Amino acid sequence: MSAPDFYFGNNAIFRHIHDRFGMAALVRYWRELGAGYYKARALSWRAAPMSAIAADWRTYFEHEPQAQVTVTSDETTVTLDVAVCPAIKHLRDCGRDIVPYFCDHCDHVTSAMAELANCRFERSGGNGSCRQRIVRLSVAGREH
Amino acid sequence: MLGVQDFCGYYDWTFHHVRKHFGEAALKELWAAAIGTDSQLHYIENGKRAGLRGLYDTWNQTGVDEKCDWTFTLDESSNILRWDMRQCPSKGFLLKNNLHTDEDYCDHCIGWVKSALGTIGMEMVHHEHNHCGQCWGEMRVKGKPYTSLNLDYDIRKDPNWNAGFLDEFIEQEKAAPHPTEVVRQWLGDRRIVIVDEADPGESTRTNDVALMSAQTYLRTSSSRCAVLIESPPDEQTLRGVAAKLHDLEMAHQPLLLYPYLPQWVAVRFVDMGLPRPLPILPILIRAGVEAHDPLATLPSTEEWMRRIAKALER
Repeated sequence: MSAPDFYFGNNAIFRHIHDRFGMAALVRYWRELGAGYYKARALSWRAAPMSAIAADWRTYFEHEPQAQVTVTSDETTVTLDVAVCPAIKHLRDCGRDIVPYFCDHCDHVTSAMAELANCRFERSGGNGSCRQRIVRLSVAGREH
Repeated sequence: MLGVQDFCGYYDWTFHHVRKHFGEAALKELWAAAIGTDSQLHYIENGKRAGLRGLYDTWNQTGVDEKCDWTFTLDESSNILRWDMRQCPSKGFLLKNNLHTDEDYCDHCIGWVKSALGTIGMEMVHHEHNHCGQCWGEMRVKGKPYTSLNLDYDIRKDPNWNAGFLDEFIEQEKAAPHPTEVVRQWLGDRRIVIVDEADPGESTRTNDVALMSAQTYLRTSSSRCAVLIESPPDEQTLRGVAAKLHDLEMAHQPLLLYPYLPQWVAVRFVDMGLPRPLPILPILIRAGVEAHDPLATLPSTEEWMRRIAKALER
């Protein structure tokens, strides 16, 4: 299990890029990170069944300290039910000032990854618990 | 979600993103402000509360959390807090996963430590890292007498310290210029010309500086050339180059270059009688020339040389 204090780093980097260069620069950072750093992971999703994408996320959250996440899938959708977001929990437990747009990083990073995998990403909720969905698009770019 | 399990990988990627879009000064500002005084606020708080001992306790907790193979040594009577890192898990993540996106990942450490220490009246006196996950550093309270430590477990006494290439920081500043500047100073007015590997003698008759592979160097009588050591290096070639250098005056010795790719960073050049070659990845990354893509096929030696020549075009 990796050190949870790295969540401090993300919160601080988001704040710095936002305050120094603006929200557009922060969104660009997140999207380029999703499409760049995570390119190989996202491309591996492209031809994979949704059950494999679900397994990928299940493994990912198993390695995040204090995460409580249920991952399910059907033929077109992977659903992440985040009961305890490990990042928000650790930042709160340590009394850190969490940037109000912290949860937005999931929208932009995962959307950029999903687009490479011919999918769409959506989130409802936030601030410590949320539901995230990755929905496979048809060849024509529409949802199944 | 951005997790902590692969943080070090996208941390390195983030450094390059900031450098590429906003410049080196912005990257140093990110290390100093975002990491040094925001992310690592607990170091500042504990340093304020209990001085060097507060920092000692904080770093030891980090070592437990991150599973660092290191020793922190506190000697308050000598005004010194020192670490000796045997295996850095952060750099180790990059090496294990074949990642090298920004110029020099290890520089971020002093980047944030310098800033955090500065807010509590302390400073980094001396630091070195070998880019193989080994490093050491000594910190002190400013304005008080300080004595360096002589330790049995000084990482510089480890045989693996001879691997990789060294960067040294004295009084918190990098002692040597960027590798690009080192090569440019060495070149002077001359330009690099890639040697025809099949006919090396022809190219080296010009007044330009010949760039050639180590294997070609062993077949030529060139002096004042730049020699790229192939990846992966073979011991016979390295020993051959070392023998040839041994017979040359310093002024006629070639400039040695090596990619130090993550999978072949830990070559102990010193053990073979060679100086540590200059790293080429920081030169390529700074010039915006393709450097290291973990998903791509490894470039040939000829391709590496083309990239070096392109990166050093004026």
